[in-house]
Amino acid sequence: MTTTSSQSVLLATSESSLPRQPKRAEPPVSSGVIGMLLFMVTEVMFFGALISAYLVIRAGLDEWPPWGQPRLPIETTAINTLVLLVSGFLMSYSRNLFKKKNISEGRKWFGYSILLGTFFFISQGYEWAQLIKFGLTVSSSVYGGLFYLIIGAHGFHVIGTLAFLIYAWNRLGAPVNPITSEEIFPVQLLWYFVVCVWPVLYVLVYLD
Amino acid sequence: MSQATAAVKKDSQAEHHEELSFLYKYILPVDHKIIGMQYIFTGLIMAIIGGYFSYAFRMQLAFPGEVVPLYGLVGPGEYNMLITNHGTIMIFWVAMPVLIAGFGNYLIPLMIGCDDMVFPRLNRLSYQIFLVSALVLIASFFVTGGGFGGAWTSYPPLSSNAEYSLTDWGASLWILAVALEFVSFLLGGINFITTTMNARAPGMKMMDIPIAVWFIVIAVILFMASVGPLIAGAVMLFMDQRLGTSFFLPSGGGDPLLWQHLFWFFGHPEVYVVLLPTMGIVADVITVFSRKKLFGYRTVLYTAFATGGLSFVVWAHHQFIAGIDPRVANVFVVTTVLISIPLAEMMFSYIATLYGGSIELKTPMLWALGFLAAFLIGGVTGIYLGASALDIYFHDSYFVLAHFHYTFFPITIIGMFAALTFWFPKMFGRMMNETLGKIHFWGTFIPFNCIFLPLFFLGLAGQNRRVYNFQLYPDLATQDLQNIRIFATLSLVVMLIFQLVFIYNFFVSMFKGEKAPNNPWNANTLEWSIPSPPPHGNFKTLPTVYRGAYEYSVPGRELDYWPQNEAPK
Amino acid sequence: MALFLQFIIVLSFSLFPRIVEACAVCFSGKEESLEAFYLTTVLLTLLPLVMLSLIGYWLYRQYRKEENVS
Ligand code: HEM
Ligand SMILES: [Cu+2]
Repeated sequence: MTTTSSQSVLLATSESSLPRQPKRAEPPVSSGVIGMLLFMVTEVMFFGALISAYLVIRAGLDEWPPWGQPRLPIETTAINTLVLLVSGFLMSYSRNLFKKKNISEGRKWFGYSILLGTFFFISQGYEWAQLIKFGLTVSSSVYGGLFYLIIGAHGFHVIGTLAFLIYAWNRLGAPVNPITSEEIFPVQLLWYFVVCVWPVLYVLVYLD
Repeated sequence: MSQATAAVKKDSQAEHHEELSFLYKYILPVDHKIIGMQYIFTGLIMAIIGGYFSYAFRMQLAFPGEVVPLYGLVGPGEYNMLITNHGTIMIFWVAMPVLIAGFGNYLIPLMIGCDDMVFPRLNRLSYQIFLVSALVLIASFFVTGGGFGGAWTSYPPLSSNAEYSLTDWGASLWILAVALEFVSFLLGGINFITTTMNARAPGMKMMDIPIAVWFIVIAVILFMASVGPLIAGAVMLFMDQRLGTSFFLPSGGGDPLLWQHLFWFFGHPEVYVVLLPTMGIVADVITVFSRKKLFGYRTVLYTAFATGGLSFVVWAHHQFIAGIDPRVANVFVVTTVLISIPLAEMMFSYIATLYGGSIELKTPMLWALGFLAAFLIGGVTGIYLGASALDIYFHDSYFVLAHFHYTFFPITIIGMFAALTFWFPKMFGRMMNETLGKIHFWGTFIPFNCIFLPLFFLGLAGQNRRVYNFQLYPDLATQDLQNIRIFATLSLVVMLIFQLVFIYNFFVSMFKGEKAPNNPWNANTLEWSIPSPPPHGNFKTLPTVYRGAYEYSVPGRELDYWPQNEAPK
Repeated sequence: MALFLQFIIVLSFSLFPRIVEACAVCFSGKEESLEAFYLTTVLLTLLPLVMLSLIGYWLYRQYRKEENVS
């Protein structure tokens, strides 16, 4: 039990209890889901605080964005947003297939969802490179700082969740020690979260 | 590998668990009992550091400018570093790890009747991150410029700008350590809640769960729902320090008030996060030693929910004079005063539990009663501070300092001793010495009051917090005020000396004490139904629970207690 | 009743306070800043309460079913 990587515990859903008599009843909501829901509460508060910071700092300045700072690429990011949303839908589609016990088909769509997520991440990275070239850096103004803070925090979540998703995808059909489609549901939940906060951040940071 | 297969492997290991090597048993354990004790011991070591710091700066206040024995000269910058890290250590590295992570880990699986946490390895990871955070904090004392000195609340711009704080890396390591510590408790907290929900012994209904477990779980929920903003704030502060952003710097377009909001949004729920575990532990201790049913189990539980809910809406009472809108302040006055209602109700429930019981003044009971008495003063003075008009005068004075020490000291130190002395037989399989325990109690409780009661009066006389040397202020340099300071400091020294009694008692009892039976206090909860100390895997057979945790002195029964797992005839 | 009315009238004065700017470094006091603080205060206060009560209620229902069945 000590040979595994420590991350895989996040994927776990089953009890660690020993199967002795008398038996404990199967819990109505699996531990993994409860754990992930609680974690998501923390995450929502984290992003809530970042949004608050943005609103407060923005309200304190007269000119927004401050003079001399490049404008953000609204259109390309809109396409990117769409890509991420589609990825989220594919994820829930694969979850539906898993529920119908259609594992191999579900795994395929799960994979496509990961691909779209990766595309989102890469094109965001490209966008950052462009913005830095145009002179928007963390320290160039509080505007730049907020941009990199908020979008960076989200990007960090994207890459982290993608890592878990790829791990889960890999293990799903593995010949040895496979994990069940139920066990990866918590990570899927996390992906829903990552997808769902993005439009909020997009409207806040890019459009507003 | 999945948890399911892990569980299967674990089963086969549980059969011959003696074979666990030293490395896996003590260095990389997944057993919740070992992890709990690691937390407790780390917390106790940190408490010694924090206590030593308080000794150094109190001596400076009583005898300004003189060499402090066993420390040396305290300079002004060093004074700031000492008070900052004293506060930080006591709250984040003593109260949280010992009361929540330590006893939470140790007690939750035992009290709800399962063999381990639901995610054992997440639990181990949590301790490892915690240990790293403690080491980072200690390292911050030794970097050039010394440890951070901007107070535990770390308000910018003082904390965000190395030119002001003069502790370039000290400040950054401090905020890094705090952030790491939160991540660690986040992982631990997920475990506590899921375990309590999903791994209870068969038959244990929600309303059969001991209050101690309930309160730790509620505390963890509060923590998880409030810590996000502080983590966000910590990241922003760190970026201000190291990457040259200006989120909190007015000169660069930021807003220093923003930090205060983010900090106190977490900071106030945090005080209830540390309060609730102790309240729960005390509930268990007083029922056992007054041999009575807990008065109003459901009421106590619901008041905890109410406290938890309200604790999210009071935080701005720390900012009454920080330039917030006075209309907002009005709202927060009302909520602040409201929150004392559920707490008072809880207190009354406890007192009603004691009323008419056959009270046995064993050491844990003394600590529990001491907690109730001392915390009462802390809670009542909080109501004064909650009135925004009064707070203009009280803010940042020694009155506030005395208020929160009358809450934090009972919670952290007195509550911790109540829990340690109560569960010591279970943890180490031996009894502690009662006489030494009582000497230690009185030697701590009386000096504690002698330290902090006078500080209320110093505060009323206008003494500000965080001042290095009061001799520089003619109004505060008078001899009678100085005498009070000296009295408080000498009481502190006496109290610290009496802690040696505890350390002696603790280690001698651990190895030489009388062997403890399974159930030395005749208590009901499940952890007392198994050998002390409990073996790896805890319960030989999964216990079945038939009743609530507080069935003491039930009429018509021979024994005055009724273990939760005893089958009805 | 008259006393109560007096009380309400006096209390209503507190809705029209003079803005005090105690903090020497704060540039705020701007109306937009105050509004942003109101908004974020409400946001941060309600978020955890709403989320926890929703999740709590949902879990409670799931577990209630279970306890009733067994
Ligand atoms: C009945 C409940 C309570 C009320 C009404 C209350 C009220 C207050 C108020 C209004 C302040 C701000 C004073 C100022 O800065 O001017 C304060 C400060 C403080 N309280 Fe409480 N409090 C209560 C319970 C607690 C508890 C249970 C704890 C600890 C576990 C606690 C810990 C603190 C701390 C640490 C501070 C000072 C923070 C600082 O500025 O460093 N309070 N309290
Ligand atoms: Cu408070």
